[in-house]
Amino acid sequence: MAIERKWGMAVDADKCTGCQACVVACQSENNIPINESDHFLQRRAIQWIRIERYWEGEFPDVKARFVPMLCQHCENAPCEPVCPVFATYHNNEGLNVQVYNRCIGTRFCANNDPWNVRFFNFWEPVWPETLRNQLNSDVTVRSRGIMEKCSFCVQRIRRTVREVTREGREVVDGDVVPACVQSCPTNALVFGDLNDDSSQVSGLSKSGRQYRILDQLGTEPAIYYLKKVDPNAITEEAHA
Amino acid sequence: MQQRPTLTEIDINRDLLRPTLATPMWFYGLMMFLFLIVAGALGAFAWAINHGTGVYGLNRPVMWGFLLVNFVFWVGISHAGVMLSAILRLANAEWRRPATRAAEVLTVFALGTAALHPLFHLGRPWRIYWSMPPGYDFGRGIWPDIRSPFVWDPTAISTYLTSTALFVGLLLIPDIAVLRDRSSGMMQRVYSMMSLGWRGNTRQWKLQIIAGFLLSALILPVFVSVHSIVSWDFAVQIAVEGWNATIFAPYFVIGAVHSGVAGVITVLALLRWLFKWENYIRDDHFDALARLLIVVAVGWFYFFVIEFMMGFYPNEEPELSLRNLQLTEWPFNAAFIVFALTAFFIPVPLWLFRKVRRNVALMFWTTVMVNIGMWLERFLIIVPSLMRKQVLTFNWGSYNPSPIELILVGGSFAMVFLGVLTFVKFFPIIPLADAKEGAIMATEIRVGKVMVPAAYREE
Amino acid sequence: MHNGGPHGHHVDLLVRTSAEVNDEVLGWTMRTSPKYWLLVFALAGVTVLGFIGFIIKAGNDGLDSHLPWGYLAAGLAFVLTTSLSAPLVAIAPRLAKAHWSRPISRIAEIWSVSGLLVLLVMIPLLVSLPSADDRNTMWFYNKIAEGWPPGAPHLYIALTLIFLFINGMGLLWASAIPDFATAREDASGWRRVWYARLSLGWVGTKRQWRALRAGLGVLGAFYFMFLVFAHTVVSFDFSQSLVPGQRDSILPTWQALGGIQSALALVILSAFVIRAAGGFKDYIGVNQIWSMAKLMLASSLLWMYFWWSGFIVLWYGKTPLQQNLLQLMWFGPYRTIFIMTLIMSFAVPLLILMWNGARKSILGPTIVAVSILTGAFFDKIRIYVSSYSIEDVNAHTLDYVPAGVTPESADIMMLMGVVSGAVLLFALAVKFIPVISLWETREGMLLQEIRPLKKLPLKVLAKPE
Repeated sequence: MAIERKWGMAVDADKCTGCQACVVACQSENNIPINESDHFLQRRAIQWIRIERYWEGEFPDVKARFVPMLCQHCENAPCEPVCPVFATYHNNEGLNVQVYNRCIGTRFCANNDPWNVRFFNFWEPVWPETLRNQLNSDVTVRSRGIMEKCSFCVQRIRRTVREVTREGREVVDGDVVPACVQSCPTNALVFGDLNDDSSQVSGLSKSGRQYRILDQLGTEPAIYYLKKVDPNAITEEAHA
Repeated sequence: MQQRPTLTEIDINRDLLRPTLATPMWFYGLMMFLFLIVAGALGAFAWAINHGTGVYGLNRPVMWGFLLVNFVFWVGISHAGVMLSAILRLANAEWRRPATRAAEVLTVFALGTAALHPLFHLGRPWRIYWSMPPGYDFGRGIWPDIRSPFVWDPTAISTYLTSTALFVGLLLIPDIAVLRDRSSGMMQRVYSMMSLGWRGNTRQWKLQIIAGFLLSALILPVFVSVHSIVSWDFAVQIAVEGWNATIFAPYFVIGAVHSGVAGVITVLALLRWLFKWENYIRDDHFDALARLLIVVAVGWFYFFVIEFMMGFYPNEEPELSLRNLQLTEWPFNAAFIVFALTAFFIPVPLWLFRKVRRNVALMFWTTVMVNIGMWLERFLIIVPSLMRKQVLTFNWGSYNPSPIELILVGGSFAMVFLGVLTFVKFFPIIPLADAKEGAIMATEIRVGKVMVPAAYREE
Repeated sequence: MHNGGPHGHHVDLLVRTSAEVNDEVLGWTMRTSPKYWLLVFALAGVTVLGFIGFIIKAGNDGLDSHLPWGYLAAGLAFVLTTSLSAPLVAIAPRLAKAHWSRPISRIAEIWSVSGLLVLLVMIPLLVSLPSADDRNTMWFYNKIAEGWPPGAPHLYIALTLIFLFINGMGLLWASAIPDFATAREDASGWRRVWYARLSLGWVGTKRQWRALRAGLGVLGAFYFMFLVFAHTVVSFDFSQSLVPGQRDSILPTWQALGGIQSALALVILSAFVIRAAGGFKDYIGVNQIWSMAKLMLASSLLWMYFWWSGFIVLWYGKTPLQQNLLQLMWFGPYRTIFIMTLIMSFAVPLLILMWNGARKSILGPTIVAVSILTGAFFDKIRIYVSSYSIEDVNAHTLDYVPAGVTPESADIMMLMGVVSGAVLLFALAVKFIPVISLWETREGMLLQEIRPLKKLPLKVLAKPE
């Protein structure tokens, strides 16, 4: 059954406060191993979504700018053709999908990923005994030596489609809510079907404020960022 | 004047078969020592399998590090074999004779060692066969993606390894026949099998020579393709600005020839010292090889300058910061200075002097220097480019090699030398037949009062 | 002369006395037939036609903009890559101490006289070349400091080409000094005066020979470097930097390689003509053509390899800029020209020269040489005309593909004029400078002989230190 959906997201930089709620929500939804300080020091922390912080201006007139960064689910994803074993491919819902048990760990995709949103399991992921029961049973626990990345909470998409079909109706805008979107207190993240002209996200993607990061590479990212509107901006726009 | 010692066939057999038939004691000691290092490296790899890829110093964004630098280095060294053997055979160059087999053997072992590096490098090494030609797991529906350079790579390398091994084996046949006639017991049976009934009659020689020429010609495209494909592992990636350059393929190939020919000279100097083969690996051979190396080095330097300048030319942030990193930030600036001096600015001016070219010790040290420089060149291409992939400065990173990586890199050197020494133990590393043919072809022409060294030439 | 041997084995070797060599070569050099003058006037006529074409074009379009001048730039690049690369065919074998190139080395060196034409054509192109303000050039103009280095790129292109020409003339002169001295003894009238002047009092002392050999080595090495640098500068300044966003780093090296390929073709073709015109069948034999044909095959394969290396990176990358570049340079308006080049510079050489029978003949490599020269000509048109068709060279990226530019009649006149001008200079020079190097040929006869090994007559080549 071909589904003509194209999942996408809009990220409103104007609304993002950098609170990291999405990061934590993603962490617990997707069975991401606990990032201890060692992982950060080794620069091997796994955060499918992260808040990139850029400073603007010179001290003391300095402002922090936050860019939530996650897999861009590109239409022409550069990470896909370089994988020798088809461990990552594009599905017909516009998702850039990672097949964990195919991955052999060449890390080629991570190199050819301009946004650095692919994460390699350098170590076997372990959880403290007390957290064993919080693992999400809908999501595979990855082993070491393989690549992982944001899946747009594909398990939620699948569950919603299942439930909606049982109810005998079509998926409508707002049915599918990934963990990060659900947890965002300022509604800076909006998720939906870009092919559906009535969806909120496709409206935002044509709002006039939208831009895509590294658009010049021609990879057609599915994540639209909405420009910061700052009356007291130091420079014209954040460098991102 | 050129030294042209007169050598009879008896001299040639006795001298060149010495390491094989009368192996000195120190030889076994050296092999033992190298074996221990190799065993240590394999132990380190076992440790890495047991604990995970985390034992390497890799991180995000530097996902490829010392192991792939070393991989490129050894693939580069392996380019000497065909460069010398096939091209010079096709060009009928007299001075190739003592160097050809050493070059081919170095190719085989350098390439074999290089082929191990992707295995060390993988996250799940036990699944490497999924991307290799004989191992595609069609049964489970796991097809290789032929768009990936990591599928081209194993294909090219295995083709090159097979054809070079075939090349060495084919050219060895007459020499193995000589060994067969001088050995006894089990070794004699093995040698007779390998010599394929060689009796040295006209028909066999004719076939052998034709096959040698054919293989030389057929192997050349393979030789060029291997390092080109290795370069495309890097060059096709649009995400890494420092790699995405159209010049990479020929640049890598000529750099490989530079380091490979230097590696052959190093090996020849070592062989000459270890086995006292002054009459076979003569000063004029070093002279000729060094002159070839000057040409290769200057050509390589031109490619390097163009590639390096192209980083500044578009005036874009990631590439400028990459050049800034390579040129000004510790330890890359030190690596850059050492690289520039050792790969080009010290050895090449020295080789312009005839006295240097004919001095074995100086040639040994300058060629070792070239390979230090060329190793650093690969490092400076691979690692800093990953540290500065794109304009998103939040993701700029750094990299420190771990002890395990250092052991594996060191072990790879021991592995190549152990391989070459093992070959020397069982087969003549200087081709007997070529040495004899060279002695027959050498002659002189009288010009006025002077006798000028000359050679017969078959066309 | 052919020495018969068993099994149809024969060995080529020139058998002459020194006096015979001198007489035959100098005799042809100093004798000019009416046919020769007819050729010279025809070439001069076409060259003048080219000049008229230039005047028409300059009158119509002016020199303010680079846009109309793509075809002239292609002509300059063609002469630069073919005839100015030709001396390499003399320099490289001389450094490698090969004997086969002795009879053709002068033919190769004489082509450097066409540098005069390159210098002339360069002037209008430099005038029309846009300034380096706000655009990328290899000279980093306006980047390191405001207005540094001064005069870029115009001054440096001019200097490079002038030095290249001077160096080429120096090399030609130096290698011809002993022959001028020989000719001085035979000639009379104005020739005798000029040969005497140009031979610089050469009497052939040991010291003079040593100085000559050292000089030829140094001039040859410098010519090599200047030539490669000139290829780099021209392909950068006249092509690469005019296309916003283009950073096809293989282009300069590819052009330098293409120069070697078409230089070999040019020397084979001109050796064929000289051989027929001067009756030098014993001097320029199968051995010479065969040796060059092998190199020509190798360079044709490399030419394809370099193209492919560049193509695969752009094609795999698929960024909008890379796709536009592919369209502009290869698969868009200039697709037909590009396919012609692929056939003539790669397919024809491969399919013909892969057979030893064709390589080891006079006619086979000559046909391939014509094909390669035509292919190189088309290639230059594709590269330079497409680069010159971009209006806004200061844009930061290439976001459109301009339409193809078809040549006007003035363009065709200029191209014909440039080519025939180069040939004209060559044709004038061969009747003054001995077209076959006398001293190198005589030396070659001393260092080669035919001697039986066992029973088979073989060539013996001496390699003096």
